[in-house]
Amino acid sequence: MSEDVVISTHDLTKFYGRTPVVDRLNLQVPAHQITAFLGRNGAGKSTTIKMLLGITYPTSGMGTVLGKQILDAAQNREARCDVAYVAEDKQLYPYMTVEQLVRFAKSFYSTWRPDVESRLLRQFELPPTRKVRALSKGMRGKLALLLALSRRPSLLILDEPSEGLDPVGIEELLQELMTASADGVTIFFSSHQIAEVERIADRACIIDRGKLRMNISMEEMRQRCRRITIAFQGDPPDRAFNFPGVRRVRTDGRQTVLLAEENVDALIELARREGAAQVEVDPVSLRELFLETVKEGHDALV
Amino acid sequence: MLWYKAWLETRWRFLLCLGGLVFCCGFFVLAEGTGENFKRLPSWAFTPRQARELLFRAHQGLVALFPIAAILLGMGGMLREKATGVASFTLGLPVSRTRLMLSRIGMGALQTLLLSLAPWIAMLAVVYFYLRQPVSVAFSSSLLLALISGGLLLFSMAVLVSCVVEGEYTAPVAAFGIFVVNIYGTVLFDSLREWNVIRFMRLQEYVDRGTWTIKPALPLGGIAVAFALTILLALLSTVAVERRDF
Repeated sequence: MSEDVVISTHDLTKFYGRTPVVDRLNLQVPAHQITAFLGRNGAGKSTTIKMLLGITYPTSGMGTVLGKQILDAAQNREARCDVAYVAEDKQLYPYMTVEQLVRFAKSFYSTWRPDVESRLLRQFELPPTRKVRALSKGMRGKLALLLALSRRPSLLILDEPSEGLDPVGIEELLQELMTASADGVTIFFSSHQIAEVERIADRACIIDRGKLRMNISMEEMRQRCRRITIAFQGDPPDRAFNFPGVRRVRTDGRQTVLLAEENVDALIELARREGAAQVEVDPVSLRELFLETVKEGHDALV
Repeated sequence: MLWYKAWLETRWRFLLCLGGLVFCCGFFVLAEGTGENFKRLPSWAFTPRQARELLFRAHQGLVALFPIAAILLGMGGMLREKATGVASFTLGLPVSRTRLMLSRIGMGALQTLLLSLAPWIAMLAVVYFYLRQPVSVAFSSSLLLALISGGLLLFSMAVLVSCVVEGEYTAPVAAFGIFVVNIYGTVLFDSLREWNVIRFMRLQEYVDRGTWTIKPALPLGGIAVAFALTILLALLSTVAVERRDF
């Protein structure tokens, strides 16, 4: 396995009963980048993350986190020494105070950074003597982030980190993630919030119905992916645009809209040959790409 | 720190049970020792034999209350954490599930031990300091040993149930149900009466009612079986948690 890949899965599958929640997932997450894991509710994001951390066991397939096998309990435990994880609901022990919880978490990591701990305690205005059960969801989320960042992980995995945070909290979260990334921490986070992803992610992986539909760098997406709107004077030609690199073809009256990730010039040329009256080429946003991907469930770019 | 977590998680249940059992047993010995049954005796006539009778009767009451305490201590654990959403945080820590279970079972076993010892210490203190009677170590320790071994068995049964049955109230109710089935099942079927956990903890058949001393043959085999079953149930609980998805 390449040293530059921190998460790698091979045909990772999880069934709940007869339903495949994660279906032969082949995922590669590069090191030193912020990778977003996008998908609708129930797409399999949280289950994938739980399998990576040994919280849930795969039905079949395999994977590695920081080069350690996820199916081997001892190796998985070793990997968790270098991985910080913030779960979706951010629940923490309600019977502990903030101070007790920090002391508890600190005891498991030799790389704990007291400077980060005190800075974030101040910044997030977390009252040390307050019980966790008395914290709001947003405050609990901040405490979970503090616990994750203070341990100086190689890999930070966050499941819906902005859930429950107010706009100021989201801004603080994004800033902290960017700072951590600049310090060399690899970040893998699941989200529904496309705007956040577009702002900080270097790469986006889209999962739908348990299958990986797309794994693309944001830079690549900006450079390669285009929406081509072709207007015809008569009826658009049938199946003419089933072309390599075309992700989606939608025809509406005399207009055909293509979502292409490569061969854009060749497609424009083809459109002209087919008698296009007008051809418009626009960049594609991640939102559009995401919506197109999860709507149709096309297998491409993987 | 896992032990610290286990302590914080269970301390109120433990302290409540501790306070309740110590108060009930201490008060019973005090009230009975100075009450109707004994007060007609002049103080010089209150004999060590009567002190042992008093302790034995208090032990019967303690045994009746103890299963509730043991089942309360067995509540919680990873399935409860799963229900409240904390399991992901716990399992994200770089520790094995076995270690998580060992700290929980270890803390619970220690608390069960203290719940057995503390009421007995209170009862013996009342007998020794207030009723001014010598304490029979052999008699007290035999009853205590039966209480500890039966108590640990009930605790580990409650832990196992909490590892396989989900639901905050379902698990203790199921554990209590198993306890009730044990009592009534062993009463209904005579061949099973040796397996009645309450009968085993009470030691009624091992006490000479004339002298209020333990008969020579203390059920050491039964005590050994109870300890072995405790370990087996604890291991099964650990295996159940090891294999489970959270």
